[in-house]
Amino acid sequence: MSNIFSNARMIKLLIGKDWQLVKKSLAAYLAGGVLVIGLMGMATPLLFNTGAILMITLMIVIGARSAIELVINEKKDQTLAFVLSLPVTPQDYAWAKLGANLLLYLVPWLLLVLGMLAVIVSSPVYNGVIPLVVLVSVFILLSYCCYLATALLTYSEGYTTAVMIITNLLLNGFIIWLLRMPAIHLTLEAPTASWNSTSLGLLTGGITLIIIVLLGTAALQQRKTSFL
Amino acid sequence: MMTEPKPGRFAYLDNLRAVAMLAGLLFHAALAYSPKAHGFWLSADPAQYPLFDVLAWASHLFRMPLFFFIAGFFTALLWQKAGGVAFAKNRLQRVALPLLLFLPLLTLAMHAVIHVGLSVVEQPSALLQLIKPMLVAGSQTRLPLSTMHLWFLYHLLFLYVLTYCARVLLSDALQKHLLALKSRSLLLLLLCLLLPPLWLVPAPVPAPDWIFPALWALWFYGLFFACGYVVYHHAGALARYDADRRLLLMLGALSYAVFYLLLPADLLAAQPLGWAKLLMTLCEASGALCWTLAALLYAKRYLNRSNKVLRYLSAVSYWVYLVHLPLLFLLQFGLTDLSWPAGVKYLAAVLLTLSGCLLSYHLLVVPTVLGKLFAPNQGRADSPDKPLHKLL
Amino acid sequence: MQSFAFDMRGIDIRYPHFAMENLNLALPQGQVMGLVGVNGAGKSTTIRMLMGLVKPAAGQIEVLGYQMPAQQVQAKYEIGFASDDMRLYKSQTLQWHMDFVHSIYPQFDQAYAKDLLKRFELIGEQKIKGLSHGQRVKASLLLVLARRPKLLILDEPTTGLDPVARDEVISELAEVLRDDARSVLFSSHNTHDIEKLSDQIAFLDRGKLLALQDKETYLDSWSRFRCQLPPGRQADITGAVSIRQQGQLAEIITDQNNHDFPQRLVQAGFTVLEQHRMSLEEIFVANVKRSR
Repeated sequence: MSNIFSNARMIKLLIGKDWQLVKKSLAAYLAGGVLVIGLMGMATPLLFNTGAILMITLMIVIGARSAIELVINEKKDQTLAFVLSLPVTPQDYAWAKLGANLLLYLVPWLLLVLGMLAVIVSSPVYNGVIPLVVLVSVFILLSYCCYLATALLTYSEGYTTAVMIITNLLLNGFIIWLLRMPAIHLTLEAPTASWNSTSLGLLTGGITLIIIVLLGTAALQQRKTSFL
Repeated sequence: MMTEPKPGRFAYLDNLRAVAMLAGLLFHAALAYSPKAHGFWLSADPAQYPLFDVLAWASHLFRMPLFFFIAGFFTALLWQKAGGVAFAKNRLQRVALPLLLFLPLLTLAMHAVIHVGLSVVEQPSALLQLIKPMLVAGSQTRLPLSTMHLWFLYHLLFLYVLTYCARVLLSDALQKHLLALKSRSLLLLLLCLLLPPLWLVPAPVPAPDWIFPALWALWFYGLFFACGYVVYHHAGALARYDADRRLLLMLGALSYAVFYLLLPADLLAAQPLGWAKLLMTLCEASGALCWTLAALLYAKRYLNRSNKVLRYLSAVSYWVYLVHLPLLFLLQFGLTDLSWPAGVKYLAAVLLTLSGCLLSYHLLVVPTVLGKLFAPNQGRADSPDKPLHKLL
Repeated sequence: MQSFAFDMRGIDIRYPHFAMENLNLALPQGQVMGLVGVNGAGKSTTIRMLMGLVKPAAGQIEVLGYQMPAQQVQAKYEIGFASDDMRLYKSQTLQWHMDFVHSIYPQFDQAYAKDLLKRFELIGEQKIKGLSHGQRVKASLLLVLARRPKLLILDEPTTGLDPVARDEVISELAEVLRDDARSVLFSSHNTHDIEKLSDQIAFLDRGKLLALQDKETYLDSWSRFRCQLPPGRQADITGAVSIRQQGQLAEIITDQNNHDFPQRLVQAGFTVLEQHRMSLEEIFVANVKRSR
C-alpha cells in the first residue's frame, strides 16, 4: 500500500504544478477577496452585508472552480495520461490532488472564517452568532469535500456538478434548520458565544463527516485497479 | 587614511526611510500641541501653538506616501534579487512577525498608559475624558480594536498580496504603456488617480487603523507603492522629473497652502463640502504627489551617501517608530499639567521619547533575538547590499 | 541469459466487452517492437498494464526489472511514454513543460531538448493551445526523448498526423532508435510506420497475440502467389492462409513461405505465374481475417 510519504517528492512537485496551473485564477480571487474585505471594512450595514454575501459566493466559486479546473479538466483535457506517465502511482496522484485542492481551498476558507470571527468580536454584532457562523462555515467545507471526493472518484463533470447543486441547496435548508433549533436561535443575541451540547454535537458531527469523506476517498482510491 | 565605505546604490532611499520614520515621532509629538487636533488627540495639551499645525500637517501630506513609495521600490528589488519565496519569508519575518508581536504588546502598553493618564492628568484631553467610562469595569462599550500606528505594517501585508496578484495578472505591456506617456501627462494621470480615495475620507487623511484594511488607503498608498515598484525597474521614470524638482517643491508648497487654508479650525468639525471639498482634495493630492517626488529627487542629490550617523539612524528608525507611541503619551501626560510653553514641552517630549527608544534599542534589541528582526545588519552596517535585508 | 526490457507472463484481464487470456509478451533489451492491431485489439490495455495503470487479474509483469504495478514509481523514472490521447497543459508553454519534466527527471538533457526543439521547429515560449496536432505530438515526444529513457513506449504516436509531420516524427524516431541500448515498444494501426521502425512484430487481435516474430523472418515467411490451375481443379493446399479462385486462376497467400512451398504448389500441378512479397499491411489484414 502506498502512503503519502513513500513518494513525497513527486507529490510535492504535482501540488506545485497544480498551483502554477491555477495561479492566475487564484490571484484574481485573492485580489477580489481583498476588495471584499475592504468593502466589509467600510462599516456601513449595506456594504458589510454585501461584502459578506460576496465573500460566501467567492468561497463557493473558488471551491467549485478548483475542483473542476484541477480534477475534472485533467481528465477532460487528457492531461491525466501525461501526469500518470510520470513516476507516480495513481494513489500518489490522488493524494497530490487531495492535497492541492485542500491547500488551495483551506487557506482562503480559514481566512474567511477567521476574518468573520474577527469582525463579530470587534463590532457591535452579538457574539452569540459565533456558533451559527462556525457551523455554517463547517457545512460549506463539508460540501466542498463532498464534491471534491465525487470529482476525484468519478472524474465526471456531471456527477460533480450534481453534488455541487445538491450541497448548495442543502446549505439553505441547513441554515433554516439551524435557526429553528431552540438551542441555536435562543442564544443568537447572547453577548458571548454560547456553545451548548446541540451546537457542539453538530460541530463534532460536521468535522467527523469531513474526516470520513476524506479518508473514504483515499481508501476507495487505493482499491481502484484501473486508471485512465 | 580612512575612507568612507562606498554607499549602496540606493542609500538615499534607506536614509529617506529613516527620516520618514523619525518624522513620524515628530508628527505624533506635535499633535499634542496642535489646535486643529485638539479634539481627538489623546495627549492633547492645554498649551497650543498654530505653528505645530502648519508643520505637522505639511509632513503628514507626504511622509507616509514617501514611505510607501520606498516600500514599493524595495519590494521590487527584493523580489527580483531573492525570488518570491525568499521575499515572502523575509516579509513575514520583518513585517508580519513584528505586527503580531507588537500589536498586543503595544495595545497593553497603551491601555496601561491611558490608565496612568486618567489617574495623573488634571486637565485631561477631550478624548481621554471620552474613553474614561469605557475603561470602567463591566462597561458594555469597549475600545474598538485598532492596529494603531502599526496600520502601515498591516496595509503593507495587503499590498504585498496585491503585488503578487498584479505580477501574475498584469502584463509588462501595461507598465511600458504608462511609461511611454509624457512626463506631465503621467503626473496628471497619477493626480487624477489619487483623487477618489482622498475624496472618500476626511482631510487630512486619517490613519486607517481599524482591523479591516481600508480600501481608500490601499488605493492611495498603493499608488505610491506601485510607483516605487515601477521606478525600481525603470530608474528613468523618476530621473526624468529631476529638472522639475524646484517646480515640484513649489507646486507642493502652493497646494499645501491652499489645502491648509481650507482645513477646518477644528478637524472634528464639519469638513468643506462641494467645490471647496474638491479643491481641498485636489490640493491634498497634488501636495502629496509633488512633495513625495521632490523629496525623492532632493534626497537622491544630497542624501545618497552613507556615514556612521546615517547608518545608525537607519538601523534604529524602525524600532523607534514601532515603540515610540506609548512612551510619548506617557511623557506628554506627565507634561500636560506643567505650565511650560508648548515649544519647550514639545522638545522635552521628543528628546525624552527618543532617548527612551534608543535606550531600549540598545538594551532590548541589539543583544537579543529581537536584533534579528530589527537590526539584521548590526556589525556589517557598511555592507553595500544592506537594503536587501532591511527593506521596510 | 537474455535480459528483457519488459516481460509479461500469463496475463489475464477481463472487461465487459473485452477479454485477454494468458498473454505472453516480452521484448529483449535494445529491440524495437511494433505492436499491431485494429482498434480494440488490446494494444492500449497492454500498454497501460506495462505502465502500471491497469492491474491484470492474473499474471506477472516485469518492466526493466521492476515488478508492475508495485514498483511503477522506480520503473517510470526509466520509461518514456507518449500516446496519441495524451495532451499537455493548454494554458502553459512548452518551456514550462520542459522545466516541469526537468524538475522530475534529473537526467533531462537540456542541450538535447534544445536540439530537438530546433529539429522539430518548435518554439519553447509558445503556449500549447496555439500548437497544431502535429506540433503537439512532437512536443510530447520531445519531452520524452530529452529524458533519454531506457524504454520508450509509444502508443499510436503518429495517429492523426499529416504525411509530412508523420515523416518528420518517424525519421526522428529512426534516428533515436540507433541507440542500441534503448528498447522501444511502438503501437500503431499504421503498419507502414511499424514496418519502417521495428525489429520485431507483435500482432494483437481481440486480446490474443496472433504472432510475435522478428520482422525480417516474419515478412519473409509470408508470400502471395498467382497460379494457373489445371482445368477443373479446386485450389486447395496445406499451408495456405487464404485462397481466392477465379476460374482457373488462384491467388494463394501463405505464411509458410519456405523453400518447399513453391515446390509443393508445383507438385500439386499449379503453375506459379507470379510471386509477391507482401507488405505488413497485407499480412496484417490476412492474419486478422484468418483468425476470425
